[in-house]
Amino acid sequence: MSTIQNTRLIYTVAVVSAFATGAVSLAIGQFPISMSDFFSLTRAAIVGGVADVPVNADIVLFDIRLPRMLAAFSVGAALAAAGATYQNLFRNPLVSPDILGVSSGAALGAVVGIFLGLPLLIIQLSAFAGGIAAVALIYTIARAIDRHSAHNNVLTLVLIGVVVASLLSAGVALTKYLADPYQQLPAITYWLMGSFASVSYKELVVALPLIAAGLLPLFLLRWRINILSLGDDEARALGLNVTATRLIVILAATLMTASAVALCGVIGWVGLIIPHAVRLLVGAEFSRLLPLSIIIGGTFMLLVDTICRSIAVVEIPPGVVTALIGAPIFISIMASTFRQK
Amino acid sequence: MTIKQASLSTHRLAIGYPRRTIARDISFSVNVGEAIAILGPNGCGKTTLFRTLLSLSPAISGEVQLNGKSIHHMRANTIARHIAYIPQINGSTFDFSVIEVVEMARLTNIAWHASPSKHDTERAMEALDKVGMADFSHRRFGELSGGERQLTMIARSLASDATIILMDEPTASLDFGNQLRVRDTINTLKTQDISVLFTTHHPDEALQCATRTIAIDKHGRAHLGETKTLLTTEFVAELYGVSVGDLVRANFNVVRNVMKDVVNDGAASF
Repeated sequence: MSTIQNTRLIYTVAVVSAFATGAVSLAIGQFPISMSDFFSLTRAAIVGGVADVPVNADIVLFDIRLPRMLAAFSVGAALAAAGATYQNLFRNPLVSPDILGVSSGAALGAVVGIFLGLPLLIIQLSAFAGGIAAVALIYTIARAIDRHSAHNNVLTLVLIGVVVASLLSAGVALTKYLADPYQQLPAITYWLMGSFASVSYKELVVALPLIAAGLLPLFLLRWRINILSLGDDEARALGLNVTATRLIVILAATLMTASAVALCGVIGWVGLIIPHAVRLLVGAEFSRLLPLSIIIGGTFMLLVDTICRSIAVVEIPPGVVTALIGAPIFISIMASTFRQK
Repeated sequence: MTIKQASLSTHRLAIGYPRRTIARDISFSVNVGEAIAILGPNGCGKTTLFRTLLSLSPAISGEVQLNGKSIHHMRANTIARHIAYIPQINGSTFDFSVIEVVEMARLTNIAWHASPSKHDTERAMEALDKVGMADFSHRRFGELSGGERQLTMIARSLASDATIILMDEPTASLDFGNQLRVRDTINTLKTQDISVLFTTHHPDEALQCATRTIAIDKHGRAHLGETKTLLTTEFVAELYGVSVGDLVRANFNVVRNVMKDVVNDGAASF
């Protein structure tokens, strides 16, 4: 079938662009590394030997750009995968991965950590814990409300999510108000904008396994997530254990989002537009949607971060660029979707 | 492969919500290869009855039994092996292809971490073929017409191993030709030993397809009987709160008298 050939072509293009973007991202930056230096360094790293390159070029390439590249790719992949999952789960193509309050919880965790003057790694752990706790709270409240009704409704989850997220934002606002305006407030603002600048291998070895741990159940349940997107009644009538499946899926997506947010702060738009665009390319079937969202989400984030750190003398927060790119893409996707109908 | 015919019955079933009983005293058991129509005015609990039969809503009192056991604590997976459900047509938010929609019926046969196998796809294609939708397998479900969607959903219930199909208003919002097509399909299913329970707003449809009818009146009382003896003009007028004259003007009597003979002959014409 031509659909299968199309899908194969799309995958090939996506994987090739991912590797190309990775290579470009390693080569580009404030510290100039020429093409020949880049190749001799890469060869030296793979087959061994010493490369004849400028001083510190190897440190810039392998200790600064490589971990940053890995972080940007995995955060983009994690956010796009979690976004795709939540969009199917809530049967709403306009849902982002922090629909259940992960970002607000993580933000409060991080902001309180900065306010208390804790070390960076503890701040990240606090952000992670805040994100998970927010979702757990929302899920528990929604279940308690639904226990007394005949329906067990995703709408309850979304509405409680909005309420709790708004409450947590009030906590963030209060902490900012109380924070020292010369030291803490800039740090808080900087964290809330999101950045990959401070990522090193130390953080990556914690975050990457957590993201992978969240991805595994999503991958295994990939076909059943299609059935969840039909809605509770239909899914249950087809024989799915809706409550258990949904809980596992929420846990997995939350783990991925919380790890991503803890690593680099809140970066919007990626988890919203990438799965939406990928769905237009390969359809809603989750087994196809998930891998492609991961590849394209990662590549997109990597591209954005590369632009952010090389286009000007100072770094631009990636959240600003994702918004600048995301908003017009989103509007044009919506326009073309509505025109079709 | 021989499929074991499931048995579904209710005993003094009351349906509704925790604080509001909608209908009570519903007792029936489904015979192999029969169609039962469920009639009644808006809000009389037709959809709630289906939700209760599927254990999506708890029974207020009484019991639903599947193969002689209470359905109340049965796992969704067990119920789905015997009963398939076709909800009212709704615009699905996400667009799957027709074959992907039908393959979903194979859930009870697919391991939790797996996707449909080649065998599952074959079963789905056979089911599409049975309802005459084989050529549509790679079309997007969202691009289909109402009738094509309904036939796809019927194919989905055929692709499962279920022998009882619940159809919620299968012909609502369909044009005349598609209504006929869906009714034909229901009559064909009966000859293949598949039992169909369907809700409808048209007494005519009950007369055309259903051997027996359950009518729920506005007081929540359920009346069960042979369709042709239960649905007298007087009874239908009372059920919907209209006069006998209204029904005569709507040609109900003509339909009724013609259909008596068709139903008596069973599904011989198919």
